[in-house]
Amino acid sequence: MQRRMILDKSLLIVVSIFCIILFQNCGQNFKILEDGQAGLSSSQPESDILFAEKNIYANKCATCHGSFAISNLKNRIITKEKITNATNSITAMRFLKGALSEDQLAAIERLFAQPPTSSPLISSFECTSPEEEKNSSIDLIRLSGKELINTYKTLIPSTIWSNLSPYTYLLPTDSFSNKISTALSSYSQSQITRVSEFNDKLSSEITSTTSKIAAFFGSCASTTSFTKSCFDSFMNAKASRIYRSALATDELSTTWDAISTLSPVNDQLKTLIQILFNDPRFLYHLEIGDGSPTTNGLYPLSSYEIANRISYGMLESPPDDALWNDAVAGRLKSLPTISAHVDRMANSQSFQARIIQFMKFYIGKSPTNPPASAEFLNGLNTSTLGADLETEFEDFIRYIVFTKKGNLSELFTSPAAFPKTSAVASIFGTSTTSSSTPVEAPNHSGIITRPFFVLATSPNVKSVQRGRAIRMNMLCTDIPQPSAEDLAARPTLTESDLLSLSSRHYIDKATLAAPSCIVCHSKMNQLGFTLGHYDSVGRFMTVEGIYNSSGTKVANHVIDSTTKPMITEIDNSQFAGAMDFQNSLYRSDVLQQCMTTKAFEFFSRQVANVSMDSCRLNKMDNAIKSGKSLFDFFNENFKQPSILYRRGN
Amino acid sequence: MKTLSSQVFSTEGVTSMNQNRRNFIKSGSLLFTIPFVEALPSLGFAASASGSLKRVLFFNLSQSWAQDQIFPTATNYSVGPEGVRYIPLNSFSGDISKLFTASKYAGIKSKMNIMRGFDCVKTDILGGGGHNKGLAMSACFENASNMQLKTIDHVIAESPGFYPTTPHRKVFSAIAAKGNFSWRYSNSFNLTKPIADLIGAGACYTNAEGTKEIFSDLFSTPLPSGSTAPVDSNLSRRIALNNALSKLNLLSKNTKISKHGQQTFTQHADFINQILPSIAPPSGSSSGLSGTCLKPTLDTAINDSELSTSNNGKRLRACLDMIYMAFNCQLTNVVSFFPMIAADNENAAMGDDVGIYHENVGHKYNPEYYLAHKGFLFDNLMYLVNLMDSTKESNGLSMLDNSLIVVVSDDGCATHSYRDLGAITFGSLGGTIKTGNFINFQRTDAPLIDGGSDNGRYFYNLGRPYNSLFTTILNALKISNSGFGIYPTSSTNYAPFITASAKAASLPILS
Repeated sequence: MQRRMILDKSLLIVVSIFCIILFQNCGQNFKILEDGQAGLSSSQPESDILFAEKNIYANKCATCHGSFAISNLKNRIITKEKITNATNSITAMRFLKGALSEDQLAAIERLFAQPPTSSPLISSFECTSPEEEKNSSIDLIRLSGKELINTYKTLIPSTIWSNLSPYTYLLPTDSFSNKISTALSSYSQSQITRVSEFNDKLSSEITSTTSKIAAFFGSCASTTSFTKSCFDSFMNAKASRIYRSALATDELSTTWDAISTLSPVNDQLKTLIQILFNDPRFLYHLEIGDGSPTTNGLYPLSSYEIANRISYGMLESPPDDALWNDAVAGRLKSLPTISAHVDRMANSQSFQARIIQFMKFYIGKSPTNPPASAEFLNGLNTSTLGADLETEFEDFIRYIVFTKKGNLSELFTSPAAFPKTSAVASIFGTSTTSSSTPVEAPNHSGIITRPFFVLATSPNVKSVQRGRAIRMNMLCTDIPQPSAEDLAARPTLTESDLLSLSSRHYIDKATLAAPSCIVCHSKMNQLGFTLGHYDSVGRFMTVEGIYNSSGTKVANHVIDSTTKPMITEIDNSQFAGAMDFQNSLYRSDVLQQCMTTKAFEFFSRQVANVSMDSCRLNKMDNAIKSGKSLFDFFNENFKQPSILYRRGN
Repeated sequence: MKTLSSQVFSTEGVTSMNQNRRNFIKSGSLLFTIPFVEALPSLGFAASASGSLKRVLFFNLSQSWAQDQIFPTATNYSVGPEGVRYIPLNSFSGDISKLFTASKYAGIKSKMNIMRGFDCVKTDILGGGGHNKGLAMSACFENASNMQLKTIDHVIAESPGFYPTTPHRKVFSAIAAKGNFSWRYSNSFNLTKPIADLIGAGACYTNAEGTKEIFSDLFSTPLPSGSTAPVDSNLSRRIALNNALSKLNLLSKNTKISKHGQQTFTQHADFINQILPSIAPPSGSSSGLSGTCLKPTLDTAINDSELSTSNNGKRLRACLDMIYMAFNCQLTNVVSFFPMIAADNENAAMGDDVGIYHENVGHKYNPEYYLAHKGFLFDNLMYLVNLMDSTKESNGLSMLDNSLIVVVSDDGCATHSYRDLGAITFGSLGGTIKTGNFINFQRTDAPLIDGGSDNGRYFYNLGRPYNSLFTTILNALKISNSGFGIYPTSSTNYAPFITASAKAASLPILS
C-alpha cells in the first residue's frame, strides 16, 4: 500500500495542483481526491491507526500538499496554531479560513506527530525489483499522421509519392504541442474515411502508368499483366514491410483470391494496394506478443514488434534495413542487440530531429511571428525572424544534446548561442556565427531565455503567458483558462494604470485582487516575472517599454526581475533573475520528474501510467538526477527491459 | 516461431467462436473468407449496412414436401437449444435423401439447410384447400382479408434498414413461363401493393396475357442497346475495407490484445460498417445497362424436360438467368419467384394456375412423378445456386454466401396440408444464417397428428410456427420486427411460441 501511494505521487500532485487553482469550485475536485483516497484505502484494515485523521487530511489538505504518503508537510512540525495561522495569512490557503473545526485541526496535528513510516525517496518514481523493470503500460496505439507519412514515404517510390502531396491533407494531423493525449489510441470515423480515401488516391497514382506500376510492384507487373508469381514476389518483398510483421502462412493465397478474379489488371493492382494500406497491421502499432505471457502477465514481444517500437519511438518511422533484418532473423530479443541499434539510430539525423521536436514539445512552443510595432522593433529585420529564432533554438538543442553531450544543467545554464543572421545576433547582443560553433551570450544562458521561447506577437511583455508556459510545460501543472466568471471578477484598470505601472505591477494589480484569480495567477505571475528582462523578441533589457494598442510606446519602467516563483507549493526561494532562477529550476524534483514523464510520453506516444511505468520512469529520472547526458537520458528510454514486453489486460 | 500475422489472424486467441460456422465455407475454396466468417456477428451488420450484397430469393412452390423423398431418414439427431433436433449435413457421407443426392449436393451441403416441422398456426384464416394464394410468402395469413398484410418479400424490400436509400431495389417478382398468373399477381402483389412498389412482376420470358412481360414492368422503358454499365469506382476501396473489416473483427476478439485494443478494433470495424454504404456499387437503372446486365435470352441447348413439350426448361432457365442478372447488376435485392405452369396447354404434368406440377406433386403423393418433377425444379435451381456460388463479390464472399435462397411451399408434408411444411435454404446472408444442417422443428413432446395422405397414413408431431422462419430472416437482416405475420391470441398447441418475446425470436440452430 505504501508503495502504491508513493507511485501515485505525480498523479496526485497534478490532481492537487489542478484542484488548488479551482478552489472556487473545488468540491468536485475534492471529490476526485476523496475517491482516489478511498480507493487507496479500500484494502486498508479498518483498524489502521489514524484512519480518520488521514481522511480529514485527504479531504482538506491533500489537494495542495499531496497525499499523506508523499505529503510535503512530513518531517515538519504541524500544529493547530500553525494551520490556523496559515489559513489566515497564506493566500492560497484562505479558502480554509474558518473551515476547519477544532477537532479537524487536532486530527491533522496528530497525524503529523507520528514518526515517518517511509524511507526518504531518491527518485520520484519507485522501482522495487528487477522483475518490475519489465513492466510497461504500453497499449495499442495507432500511427500518428507524421508516422503515416513517414511510413508511406519509406514504402512508396519518391516519383510516385511526390504526386501525392495534394492528398496528404487526408491523413491525420495529430499536433501535440505540449501534451500527449489519448488521441492516438484510436482512429475516428472521419480519419478512417480519409485514410481510405488517401489509399484510393495512392492506388490510382501507382497504377497510373506502367513505369509506376513497375516501380512499386516490380518489373514483372504492368497494366496488362500481374501473374501469380509476380504477385508472390511482390508480397514477399513488400507486404511484410508494409505490415511490419511476417506474413501469415495463408496470406498469399487469401490475398490472391481476393484480387485475382478482378478485371482488368489495374483493378487487381489497385485493390491490392488498398488492401495492404487499409490493413490494421499497417495502421496500428500492433503488439500481439510472441508466445505465452509471463507469470506476471507480460507478453514478450516479437522481434518485429520490438523493431517497430524502437523505430517509431526514436524516429517516427518504420524500421530501417538493419533493424528490419534483425527483426526478420528474430535477433531483437536481447537487450545488447537492441542497445546497439538504439546507439546506431541515436546518431542519425532523424533522431536529432526527433529530439528537437521533443524539446519544442517540452517547452510547448510553436512558431510565432514577432510584433509588428516599428517603434518596438527599432529597425530589427523581422522578415525571417520567427524562423531564424526557431533555427537558433534547434541549433542550441543540437549542440547541447548531440555535440556537447550536455546534461540538464547545461540545458538550463549554457550561454551558447547560434545567431546566424544579424537580426538574431542583435537580439543576443553577439556577433553572428555561420558554423556549429556557438558564440557566448551570457544574458541568454539556458533554454528559457532563448528568444524562440519568449517570442510573442505583442510588444508588451507577456509575463503571464511565459509563467503559464513554464508552469504547465516544464513543471507539468495544469492551469485552466479562466472562466467567464473569473474574467468578470477582474478589477477594472484605467489608462492611468497602464501609464504608471510596470507590466509586472499592472499584471499583479489585474490578477491578484479577486480570489478566483489568485489561485492560478499565484502560480504564473512570479514565474513569468523571472523573464522580465527579455522583451517580446528576446532582447535583454533593463528598462521595459509599455506600448498601447497601436504599438506606440507610452511609458518606460525600470525592470525588477526579483521573484519568488514557487517552483513547488512550499518553495519560498527568491531569485534575482532568469539565470539565478534557472539554476534552481533544473535542480528541482518537479522539473526533473516533469521532463522524465514528458519524455516517456513523447517517445511512447501515450500517457504514462505512474504505477505500471514506474520502473521505466525511475530509470530515466535517475539518469537525469545523476547528471547523465541528455543524449543518454533519451536513449535510456529504449534500452530498458520493458522494451521487450507488453502488459496484458 | 510463429509468424506475427499467423498469430494475429489465427483463431487461437479468439473466444466464443462457433466452429460450426466454418461449415458453410466449402472446404478449401474460400480460404480468404475464413477469417471473415469467424467474425460473423459484426460481419452481418457490415454487409447489411453496406446495402449492396445481401439478396434474398424466395423460390415458391405449390407442392407437398414428401418426407420420404425430400428429408433424410436418419434419426441420429443432435439436440440443440430449445430441444430442436438437427443433423449436420456433413455427417452424410452419401446421399442426404432421394432428392438431395451426393452427386449433386455434396459440394453445396455446407451452405444449405434442409428444414421441416413448420406449421401454420393461425388456422382460422387459412384459405380453401389447406393451402392458398400466397400462403408460402405470408406465413399462412393468406385469405382475402388478411392479404392486406405484406408478404415477407415486401417487408424486406420496404424496410428502411435494409435498403434505406435505394427505392429501385424493390421486390422483383418473376413468374416463369406462360400461363394465367393473374390471380397470383393480384393476390401476392397487387392487392395492397401498388405496382409502382414492384420493379417487375410477370413472366420472365413470354406470357399468355401479353401484358405482364417482365421486362416491360421491370424497367419502365426498354433497355437501351449498347449502353455502358455504370462504373464501380469504389470497387477496390470496398474490397479493401471489407478485407480490413474481417481482420478487425478477428483482432477485436483476440484475447492476446488488451481490452482497450479489442475495443479499438471493434470501433474501427463499426466505423467501416458506416463507411461502406457510401461506397456501395452503382445501382443499375433503366439506362446504362449492357453486357451481362442485359435481358437473358433463351438458351436453345437447354433440355426441356421434365415432361414438357413447350420449353419449360428454357423458360425456367431464362428466369433464373434474369434473377442472377438482377442480383449481379444490383437491380434488386429481393426476388420472389413462382414456377408457374409451363405448358402451352396449361396442363403439363398436372400443373395449373397454382403452380407447376401442383396436381401431381401437391394434391397427391405420386411417387411416379414426384422425384422427377421436384428434381427438375431443383436441378434448375441448383444452376442458379452454383452460379451465385461461383461469383466472388467485393467482400471476398461468393454471391451465394452473401445471399439467401429460401425454397418454400404452400403445402406441408402431407398433400395439401398446412402443417409440417418444409423449407430449404442456400447461402447464409453474409454469415448471419448458420448453414449445413438438417433441422427438424417437430417437437417430440407435442401431440402426434394423423396427417392423412393420398397414399397411406402420415403422422407427424406439431412443430413451430412457420412465421418464425421469416422472423429469423428479418432478424438476420436486422430489420426491426416483433415477429413476422399474425399469430392466434391463444393456442394450446403453440403456447410457448406466441409470447411477445418468442414471436420476435430467431429459430434455434439457424441463428
